[in-house]
Amino acid sequence: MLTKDLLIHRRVKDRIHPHRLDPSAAELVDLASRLAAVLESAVGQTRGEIAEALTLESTGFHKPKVAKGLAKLVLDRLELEEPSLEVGADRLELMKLAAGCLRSLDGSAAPADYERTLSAQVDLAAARKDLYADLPGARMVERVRPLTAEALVHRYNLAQVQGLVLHADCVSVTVPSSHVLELRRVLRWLKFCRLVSRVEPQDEGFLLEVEGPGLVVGASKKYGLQLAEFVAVVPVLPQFVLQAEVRLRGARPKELLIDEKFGLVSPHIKALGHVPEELRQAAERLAEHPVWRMDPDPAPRHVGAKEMCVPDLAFEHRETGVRYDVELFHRWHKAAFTRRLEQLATRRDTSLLLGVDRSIKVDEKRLLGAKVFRFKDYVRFESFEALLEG
Amino acid sequence: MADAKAAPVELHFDHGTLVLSQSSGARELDALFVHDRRTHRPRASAHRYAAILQTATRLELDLVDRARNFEMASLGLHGTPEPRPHQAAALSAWREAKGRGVVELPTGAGKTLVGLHAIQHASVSTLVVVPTLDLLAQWHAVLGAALDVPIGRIGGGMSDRQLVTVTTYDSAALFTDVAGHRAGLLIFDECHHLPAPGYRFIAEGSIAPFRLGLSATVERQDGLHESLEEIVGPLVHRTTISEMSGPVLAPYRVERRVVPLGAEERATYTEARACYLAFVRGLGFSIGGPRGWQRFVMVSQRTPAGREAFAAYRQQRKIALTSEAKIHALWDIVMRHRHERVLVFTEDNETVFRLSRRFLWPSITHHTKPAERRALLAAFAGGDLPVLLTSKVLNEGVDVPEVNVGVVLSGSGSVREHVQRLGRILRHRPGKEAILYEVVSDTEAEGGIGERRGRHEALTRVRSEPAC
Repeated sequence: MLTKDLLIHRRVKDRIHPHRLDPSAAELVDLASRLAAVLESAVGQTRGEIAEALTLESTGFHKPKVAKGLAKLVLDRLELEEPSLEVGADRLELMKLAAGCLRSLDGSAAPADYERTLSAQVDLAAARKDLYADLPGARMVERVRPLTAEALVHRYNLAQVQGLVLHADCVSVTVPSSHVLELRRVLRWLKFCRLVSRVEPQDEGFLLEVEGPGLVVGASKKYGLQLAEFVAVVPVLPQFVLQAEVRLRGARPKELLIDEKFGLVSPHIKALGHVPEELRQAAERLAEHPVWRMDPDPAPRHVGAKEMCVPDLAFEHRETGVRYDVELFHRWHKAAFTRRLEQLATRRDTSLLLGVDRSIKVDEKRLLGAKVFRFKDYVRFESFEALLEG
Repeated sequence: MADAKAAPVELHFDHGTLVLSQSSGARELDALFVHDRRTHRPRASAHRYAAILQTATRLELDLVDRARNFEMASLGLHGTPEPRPHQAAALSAWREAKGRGVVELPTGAGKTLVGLHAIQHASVSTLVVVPTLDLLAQWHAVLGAALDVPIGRIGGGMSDRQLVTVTTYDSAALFTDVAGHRAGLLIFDECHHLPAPGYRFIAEGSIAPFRLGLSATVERQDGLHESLEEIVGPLVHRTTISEMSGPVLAPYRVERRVVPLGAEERATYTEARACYLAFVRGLGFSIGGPRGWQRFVMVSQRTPAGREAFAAYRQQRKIALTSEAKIHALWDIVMRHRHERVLVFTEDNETVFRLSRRFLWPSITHHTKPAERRALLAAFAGGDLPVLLTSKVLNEGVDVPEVNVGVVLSGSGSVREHVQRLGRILRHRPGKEAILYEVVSDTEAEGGIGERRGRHEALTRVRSEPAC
């Protein structure tokens, strides 16, 4: 992400427009290529040296703030070596030695006298040079996460949008109904971001409103960071309209409105296909199951009167085609589980199985026919096999 | 309708908020909630838990509390001294305020003991929230010695929750939305941090009915301290440094050393300041006005002349804050007190590292790993190291009673910062007299800072003298 001083935007009437770079602009591609190339030889150098190299490459670009922003995003791709645990202990010994020298001097001694005393016991120049070799700027680059010039520019454009969304309380996304599969992936990502959403089917698609749970009661927690994380996956939708009210400090609120034509590219496309390890193993074990086939990435489905849920997995009978979706409620989903029961009370749904962590108390009287099984931390197929058969 | 009457209303904790399973039907209780159109349920900020339960009890409503997830326990203290009169007065005021309130006591006056007695009084699952890893370690050690229960730690690479747990503001801000229902007593050490936008939710998103805020200087320059009354409780007790100097805190004096710049530095300083001021005068707005500084930074980045002025601003400030003459004054002070413990404060880490490399004096910054911090503080307390350099990370919380000399080589004009730095050397020891040296350049840039710092009753007895 970009720091506040690197954000560029225009305010026109009630709107705010993030700065966007054209990934095909020759001079920009040239700069981005040179910056990205710095990463290629970064391993083995210090972070400070890489920062200096990036400054050298970006100096002279006619838009200094853009160049600094691109350089910052490249710097974020470095993974630094952990300093040796002995560095601190060695430093302490050296300091104790220096303290002894200091105390041995007469009260009227000058700094030059002190340096002479010290030099008799240590190589002062070398000691000064290596004293803080474990500071971030002096640490060696161990690994880099490489990226292409084009990817760097796309990252920059996304970071400019994220930088504004940091100052929003709520984000709404409108999605045409033809993109329900991509919407499923976006909704799944919400679970990682600890945000709440309201999905409403509209005439020609869905309206997704995403915000922090405490917002409605005016809790001052800023959910901007989570919203910015969420925004990074919105571009997986082939068509969308993203809207947010941006409240920059000391300025009147402005509307951020962008759609797919802005050209954002999500860096999370691979991560969105992520299946938790225990489910992946279960799917592997069940690959040869004679009766049931498991789908670890099912589509969203309607629940209750007008809401939608994203099941965690689904099972389909190999012969009859009968299908069950399974939604899991971990220990931190207590309120969501209660809400789901209430929705199912308004519209029963026998093909939705609810897996509930044992730490959540379940009041049998409130189940009203909902199919519930229990698990402890991790789900095993055996926990709900009987429900499928029943 | 009959069904709705039969089903009791339930109160749930949900991501730092409280949710009713349905409207209670009682207007007075429902007024504490707002209707959440996303979930169609009444929702309230979690910090209203006590008020909600009190209202339900008064109205004799059948409210099932499924929000609370903290334990009652008998927490007895052992080996702790009896509270001194000022501590007893603070505790009594806090108890009278129904266990919600802020206590302002100078550093070294025993705020931790007030916290311990509050824990004993409440005897519930407790979360102590502190600003730094040093304070986390200190509270953990004190609680471990005073209570017969395991003490948990969350932060600095640890994640161990117990009946009584210490955590940092940064960690608490991350877990409050999932664990804000697990503590019945919240103690906010250095609670002036709490109103900051990133931390306020720790109090708002928690249901704890008992809350205690501790600070040496509650007041914030941005005025946000006023929100403490809503999210922690009212200021229930205050004792000043002057009231405690002698019997509880070490007697002290503050000496200001005014240092003239050398000829070369003065020439550079004068030129840079003139460049900066010329640009500022042409701005058309006052840099001291509301958002004046931010506007200056913004405008200065738009033109080459502006960027030059900004660079000049930084150069003249750097000279004023860390001139060679100041470093010589520091050397003189250190040599005078080289057999004691001298804590040196600077405005930035760059100066800390510069001095550390030059004199091989130890430093503590936010880069220092916890193990090294502990080792350095132990060596400093034990007398193996006579000098310790730091910028701002030790403004709060370092507990080294042996320190009797503080040197403010550079800093902001913040009264809070200056009082906190003074507090670091005031812990009582028999026969101890503390001295805080303030080394200031004879420049316009630093003159104002020194003047602003002096606006506190504890700092009015400053003796100014020019350094040679």
